[in-house]
Amino acid sequence: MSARVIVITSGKGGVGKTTSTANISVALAKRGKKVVAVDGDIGLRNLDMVMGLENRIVYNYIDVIENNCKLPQALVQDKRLKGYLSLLPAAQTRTKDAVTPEQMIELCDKLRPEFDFVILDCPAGIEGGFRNAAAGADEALVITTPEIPAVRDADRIIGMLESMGKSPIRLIINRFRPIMVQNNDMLSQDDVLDILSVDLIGVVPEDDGVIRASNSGEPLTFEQSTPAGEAYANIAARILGENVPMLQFDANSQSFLSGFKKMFGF
Amino acid sequence: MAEIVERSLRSGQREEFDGDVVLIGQLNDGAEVLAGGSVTVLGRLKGCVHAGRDNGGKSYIIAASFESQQVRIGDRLCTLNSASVEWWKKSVIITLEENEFLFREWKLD
Repeated sequence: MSARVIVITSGKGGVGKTTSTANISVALAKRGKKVVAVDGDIGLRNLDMVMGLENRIVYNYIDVIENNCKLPQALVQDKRLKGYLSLLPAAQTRTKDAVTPEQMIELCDKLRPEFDFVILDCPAGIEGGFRNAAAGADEALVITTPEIPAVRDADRIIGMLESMGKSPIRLIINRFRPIMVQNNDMLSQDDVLDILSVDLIGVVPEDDGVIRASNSGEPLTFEQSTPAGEAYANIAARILGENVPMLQFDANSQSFLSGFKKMFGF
Repeated sequence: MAEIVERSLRSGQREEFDGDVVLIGQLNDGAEVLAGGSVTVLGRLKGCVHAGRDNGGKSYIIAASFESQQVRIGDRLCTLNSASVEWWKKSVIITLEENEFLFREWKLD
């Protein structure tokens, strides 16, 4: 077994990197893949909370790199998907300077034989934290929201990922609101793709459930009955190479809710 | 001899040349092309172009689709906004005439 190592990144903060990492990791694990989610945000770790595993952390990967513990000791197994889903936490009491890109590559290479997927949650920014998280990855998923500042930062990150040789680089449009697009208040899917010219792997609609899930530590893809959970499950399927049609957002629907009802056929 | 660049420049990417440049691709917002001579963008010009840095402004800028908020030729600067120019998203040639910017639509007929 040699894992595919995928970095989830965006440039801009607050567009949904950690949420996407948690949900895609859960969705892939539910499909029977062995997945480890790695928190790349040293000093500002959040992935453990979003995944509901904060109280189980003993060691982190800085401990592994500094030989304070063995790799299996730092891995936190998710009991809800036992044997399939693990978290490799970051250190909260250190900073981005605690590791080098070379050490992250080495860490990823240690994880590769043990898993099918290594999903790296990248910190915001284009500095050391981004370079560390991206260093060990083969592929990238870039998250943007349909707003000009987020799209501009995504363009910047895509340029950097391209020059680092990451491939494929695919796009997730997050927090999409069909009604606002219909009223010309939000960039459409086509507007975003026109600017960024990369392959789209999924569109995740705005969903109140995401905030509830972040607070409860229960990623939406455990249930999948919500619009965003469904979208993440589809993204996971596309990562596995399945040809899942994109959700169509009906511009003529009367309300946000009826749009989703049509979309999901109920 | 002009330098030919066959790729798009994304935000944060910057290319600097001594002579003329032909960019076959898009110049995205936040990207920069700096040239001693003239600059031709065979794509969308959304980022920033500075032409004629070495020849006192005796250079031109050509864009297949002009969508930029600022251009520079020599030591002159022109800021624009999309609402006030009729050739926005059209093909244009930009030159300096007596130190003033002259924009002309680039038409085939």
